[in-house]
Amino acid sequence: MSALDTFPKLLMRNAERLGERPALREKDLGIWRETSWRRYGERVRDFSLGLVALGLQRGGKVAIVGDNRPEWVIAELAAQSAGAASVGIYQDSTLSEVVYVIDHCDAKFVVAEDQEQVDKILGITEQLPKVKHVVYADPRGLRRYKHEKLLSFEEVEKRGRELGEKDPELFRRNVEQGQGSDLAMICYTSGTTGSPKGAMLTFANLLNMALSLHQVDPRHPTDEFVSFLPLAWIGEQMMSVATALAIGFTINFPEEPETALHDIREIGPNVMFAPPRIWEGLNSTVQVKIMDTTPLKRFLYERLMPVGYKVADLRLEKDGVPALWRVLYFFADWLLFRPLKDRLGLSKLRSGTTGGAALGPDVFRFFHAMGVRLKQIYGQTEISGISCIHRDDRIRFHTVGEPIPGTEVKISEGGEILSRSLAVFLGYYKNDEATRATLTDGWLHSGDAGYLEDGQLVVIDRLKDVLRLADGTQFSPQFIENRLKFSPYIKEAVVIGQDRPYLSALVCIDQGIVGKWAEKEKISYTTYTDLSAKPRVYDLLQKEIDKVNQTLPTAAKIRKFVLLYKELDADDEELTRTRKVRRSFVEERYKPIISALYGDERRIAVDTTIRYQDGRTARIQANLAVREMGAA
Amino acid sequence: MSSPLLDISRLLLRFGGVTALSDVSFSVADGALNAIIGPNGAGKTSLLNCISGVYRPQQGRIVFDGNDVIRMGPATRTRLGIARTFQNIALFRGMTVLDNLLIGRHVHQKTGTLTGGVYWGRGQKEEIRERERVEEIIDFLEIQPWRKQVVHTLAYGLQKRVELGRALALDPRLLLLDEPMAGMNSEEKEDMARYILEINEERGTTVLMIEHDMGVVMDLSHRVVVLNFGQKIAEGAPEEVQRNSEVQAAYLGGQAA
Repeated sequence: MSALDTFPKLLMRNAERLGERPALREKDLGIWRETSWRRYGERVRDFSLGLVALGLQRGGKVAIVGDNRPEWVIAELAAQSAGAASVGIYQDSTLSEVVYVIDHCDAKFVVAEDQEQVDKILGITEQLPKVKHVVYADPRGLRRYKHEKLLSFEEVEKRGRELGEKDPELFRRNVEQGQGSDLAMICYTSGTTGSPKGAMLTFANLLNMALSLHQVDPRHPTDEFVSFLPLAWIGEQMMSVATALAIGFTINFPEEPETALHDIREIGPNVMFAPPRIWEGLNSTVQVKIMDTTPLKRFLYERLMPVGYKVADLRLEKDGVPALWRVLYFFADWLLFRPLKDRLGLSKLRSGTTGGAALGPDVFRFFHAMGVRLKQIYGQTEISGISCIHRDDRIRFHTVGEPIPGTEVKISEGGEILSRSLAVFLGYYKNDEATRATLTDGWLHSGDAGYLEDGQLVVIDRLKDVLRLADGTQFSPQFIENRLKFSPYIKEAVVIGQDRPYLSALVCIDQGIVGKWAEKEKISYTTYTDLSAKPRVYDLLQKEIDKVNQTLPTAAKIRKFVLLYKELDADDEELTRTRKVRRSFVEERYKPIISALYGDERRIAVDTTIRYQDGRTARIQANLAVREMGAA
Repeated sequence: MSSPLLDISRLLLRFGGVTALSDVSFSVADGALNAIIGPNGAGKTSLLNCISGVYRPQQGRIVFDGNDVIRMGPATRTRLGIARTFQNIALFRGMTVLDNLLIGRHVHQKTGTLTGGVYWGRGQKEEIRERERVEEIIDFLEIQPWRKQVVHTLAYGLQKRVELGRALALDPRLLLLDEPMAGMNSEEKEDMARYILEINEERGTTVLMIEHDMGVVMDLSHRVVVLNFGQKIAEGAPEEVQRNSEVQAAYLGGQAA
């Protein structure tokens, strides 16, 4: 076989070399069921030939939507084996997003996981004239569906086997025709503004990234990885597909998205990559459980955590750890950290990374204290996911690490982060204008403002989001928001101040943690709206905001804030699918509240309707307090 | 159509001087999904209790699948294939979801205390087989995340689902549901409706349910029986029953227009 320059070629190599070793594992009916590399290869072959039999051509596109399960990656590799590209769609996308992506990418095939996704797509077939076939993986509830375009995963595999019997060498020929420079996938970016853009990535891009990352953060063929983040996301593609194929480790798919954290504990992954919210979630799970546990355990936790923090700090500052602290840490490890890591499923974790957004230093320290050397990753979809990562011996919480081998990073005159490597994408699909705006001389414009500090990159904010107060003072709302969100009590925050005399904030409390706190403080409440209107909750949050204010320059401190009566939600279009705040939308939507923040009122009446996921609407009437900092 | 799966004729149930049911007759075809409706105190739950064997009516016949079951106890009827859920959840609150469902399988287990106790050979095989059946139900009702949680810690809507699961574990041919949607929010109701439909359509289980949510009754059921003060006042397809003036009177009170 020719060079191992495509995913299908790597799969065939692994099927040959690793044979019966597990490639994929899925929990089904309560039991982990394995797919060996050989079987993985066979299933990809059958499904790929089935797609070919149904008319898939080289250069075609196959859209895939659903939760993480073997069929997702099998469909992806099957498309790539036939010379087509895969297009992942987030499983919780709104209908208009689904229509846009499927139509824009010119897919003739859609592979959908189950009835929920099939219903979505069959309901809009007239808006998707290019789609010829809809394939479903889970037949539940679909047995009675009759639709000319609809067929099952098994049916496609059966057609593939028939074609394979007629022409046994066809699959091999198809795979060998593939080249590193072929389009492997189109990743639609969530787009904080406007329609999603489809980043075109080649096998060469993705494999270059995978191997460069491997040099500085090595993986082994014996590693276990749990795939529980959307496969439409480049970060998950990077791990579960590109790196897994290149190195040959095992991917585990959880039973249901809700069981992911439990399944992680059962697997005990060696490698884990997750956005901050997962790490924050693990951290707050521990905090909440400790509040509820026996006095002895709480005593141990409170005494031994400081040992972990101290040793973590010494290690990070590379001051060397004195013998006494080593001994103390040894006991702390046995009494607290090992059991804790076991509970979280992190006992075997060698490489834990976070990416996609900023992670609070408190959370970072928490994991380092218990011996999980969490590292930050930075990158864009357009550079195959990664350009920078912390090195094991040089971890600073406020940076995103150093460029991976083969990657150059520099700061433009306008303060923008630029990067260049072989992993930089081809361009946006059918959008040359956007491509020209993003790529110049091979340099990828990230749109992020940042600076370099001793070779480590520090990201401030999106360049366009660096704003000015009316008096010209520059501030980065996201930077402040992230600081605010480091508080366990704050779920979301939106900082406002563009062309205004001072800064103010819309704050959404974290119902779980604030609720727990309220319980301890014997404050009774009914709903989220009720809880967030309690004066004592306001007092609590004021203290939290005050802590952040102390780190901000005088001209850019938060002067007033309001606790919102509902959480910001992607279904209300207030957040993107990756949970980034859509600032202009939020500012428009909460206009009356914001004008109250810049007026003299102490309270503002709100009367609005909110929409639930099932389409029902409910009216909310509330009287929000406007709290001025410094005033109790 | 073949003979009905359940045939009830001239049922009379009295508690002292109170007549709970009088002269109630109807039948449920094999594979049907039927509903019993009626105002509070109409005798719906009493009727269900007569079918499942909790109450013994003074007069009348209940024939299930060709067997007159009126003299049988609830356990015997369960073995014949009648399972039910309760209006107020009746699970083992201190046990896990999994254990509650496994108990549902108990009627189908053949090994005795000894063979089951040593967990070897036949007992072990059976245990594994039963666990598989239970896992299928867990998958069907999408309750994987709560498999090992103790029931009383679960939300109300979930407990209802678990109770349905335990009834399903009995592998019933006739499933009696007493207000499966009571106290649920609309999302939970939608899920429950989907499960009931799938139980009926995909598993071919005959379902007889009491339900107050008219939307659910009208959408799901093939036929509806209406009770009022212990008497059947109407029976037929949902739309027919809805138009029936006596039914409207029973629900709205007084004389309907």
